[in-house]
Amino acid sequence: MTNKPLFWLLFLSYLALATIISLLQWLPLWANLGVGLLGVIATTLFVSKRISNPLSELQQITQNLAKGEFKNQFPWSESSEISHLVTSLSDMATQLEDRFTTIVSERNEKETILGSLTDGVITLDTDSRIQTINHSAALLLDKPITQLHQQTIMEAIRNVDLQNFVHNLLKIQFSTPQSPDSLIIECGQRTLQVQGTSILDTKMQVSGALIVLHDLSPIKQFDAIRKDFVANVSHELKTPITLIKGAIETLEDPSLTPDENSHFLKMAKTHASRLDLILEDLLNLARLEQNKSEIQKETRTAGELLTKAVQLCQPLLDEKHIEITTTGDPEIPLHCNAPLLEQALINLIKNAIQYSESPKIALEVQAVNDRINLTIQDFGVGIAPEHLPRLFERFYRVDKARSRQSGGTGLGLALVKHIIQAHHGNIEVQSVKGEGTQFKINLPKGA
Amino acid sequence: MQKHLDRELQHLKQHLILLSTLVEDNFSHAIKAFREMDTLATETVISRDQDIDKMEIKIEEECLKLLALHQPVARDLRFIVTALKINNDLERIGDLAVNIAKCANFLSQMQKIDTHFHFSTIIEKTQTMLKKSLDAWVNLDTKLAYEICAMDDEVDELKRQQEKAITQRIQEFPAETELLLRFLSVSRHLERIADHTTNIAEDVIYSVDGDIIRHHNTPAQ
Repeated sequence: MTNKPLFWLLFLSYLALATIISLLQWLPLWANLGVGLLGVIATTLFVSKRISNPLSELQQITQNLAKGEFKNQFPWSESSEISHLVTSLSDMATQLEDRFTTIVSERNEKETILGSLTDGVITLDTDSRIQTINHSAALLLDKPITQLHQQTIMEAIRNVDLQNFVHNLLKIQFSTPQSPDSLIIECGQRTLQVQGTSILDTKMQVSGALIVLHDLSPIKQFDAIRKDFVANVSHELKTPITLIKGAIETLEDPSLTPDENSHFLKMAKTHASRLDLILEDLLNLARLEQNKSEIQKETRTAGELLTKAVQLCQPLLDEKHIEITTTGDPEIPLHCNAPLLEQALINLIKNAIQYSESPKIALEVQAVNDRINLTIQDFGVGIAPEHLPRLFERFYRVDKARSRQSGGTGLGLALVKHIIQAHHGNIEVQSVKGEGTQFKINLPKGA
Repeated sequence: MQKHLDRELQHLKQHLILLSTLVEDNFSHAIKAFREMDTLATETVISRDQDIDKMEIKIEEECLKLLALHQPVARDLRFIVTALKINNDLERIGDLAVNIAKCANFLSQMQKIDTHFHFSTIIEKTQTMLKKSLDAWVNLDTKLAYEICAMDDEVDELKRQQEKAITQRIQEFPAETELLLRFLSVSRHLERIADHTTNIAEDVIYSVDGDIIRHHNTPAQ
């Protein structure tokens, strides 16, 4: 492109020169003309070098800028007009680059903020089409973000209330910004709280809507657990109290025989101690929850702990003629709060005794790297799989009639879990119905 | 002109989605009425069905207007024809939901009987089918649509089992016949709803691919 005019210039000058040389011998006037022509050609060449070339380079640079390439080599020119142009163009390029960087970083910042929010954020245009949507919103709606983009909100969530809600948000005209309304909807498995605000443009007309989705499912679940707990506590405390009250009321009757008297006294005593046990366990749990990080620790061997726990359970074992076998290395040292861990082991062993249907319970100690595994295995009735996830909840009972009859407080396993957690360990349960249950405690040695 | 048509088609789709949302919601209410014998839910279903009917007429008029004004061809034509058919199916599902709610209302006034007709499976299947068919329509997802066609047979089988169980019970306890017939109706209505969702799925496939797969239910090669 740039060489074309030059070529023509050279071609013309060649022609001119040829003519001049052939004509010079005839007429001196023509010679003068020829010299003039030569001068013109020289000027043309000079101008082309000084002006055309830098201009065409500048044109290339502006094209680059339009494409977003900011790193360019600006041409140098002796001509002051062109050098002014070059300077202002280079200033413009620098400014453009600055603005561009700002826009990109602002956009990234906005995207990062939206992306790291746990609440879902969606903006809609006036046709209720999704304009922006963050990652959390897509997760809450359980659909890929690419599919949701540019869909209308009705396509994304089919819900009558939400449709009316969005319709109202987009309908308001000439309004002042208002406090966000909210609505609770069911979406798949989730309960979502939806908050919405109209987006206004410079003329204060609605140009879209902002919708924030907040997942209420965990709160709802938590609330259900809390309600269960309160109901359970009241029930568990009420039962012995009712029985004690009944026994005392009967004792007020003067016509009772001494035998009957002692029967009811014994009944009151049994249930009073049961009440005491429940309260004791509840208090222990509360204490553990409060001072989880501050329990006193000392170093013991696993064998010592197990022997002590088994000793304390011995009367129960003798009663049911059950033998406990311990395998593994009992000399493994363990940094722990001995009374608490013993309590946990006792609870688990008592549990095993209660549900055991064979004359054997197996304990196992095993060191794996810097952690230690304690396994308590019984060969009893086993637990159905649907109960396993809730086994460590307070007052959760697999067989309601049986465990209360055998004197459990319903808090034993909850206490075990909290003790293990206080030692930064975890506990797992595996069970096969009809074959037995295995509790596996995993503790760090230096906990 | 094409731009106008495109915009009108978008509006048509939005209206149909609105209708489908109403129908889906009404069906869930009908199920609630039946499961929990909730008379309040029955009333909601019946009153909302009037909105559904009005909307169906509006959408049908819209489709006819588009056909007359724009004389669309190919994909656009298929889209409008599909919309007309889905519109019809949705309205029928709405009516069947009302029928279920009415049965529930009747049953709630009668003495409860101890039945083991396992309605939960067929209800869940039908609900899933309705939801998936509408999802397939919204996203024009033919893969999902084929899934629904396959599910229809399962619902038919469940209905057959229930029919058998109910017939047997009628023979054992003829005094309960009136009551048991309602259970039979509910079972039949559910199966009909599943059929309509299958229709919707087939229409989605027609709209996207132009294949008519009715009566053989397999993807055309």
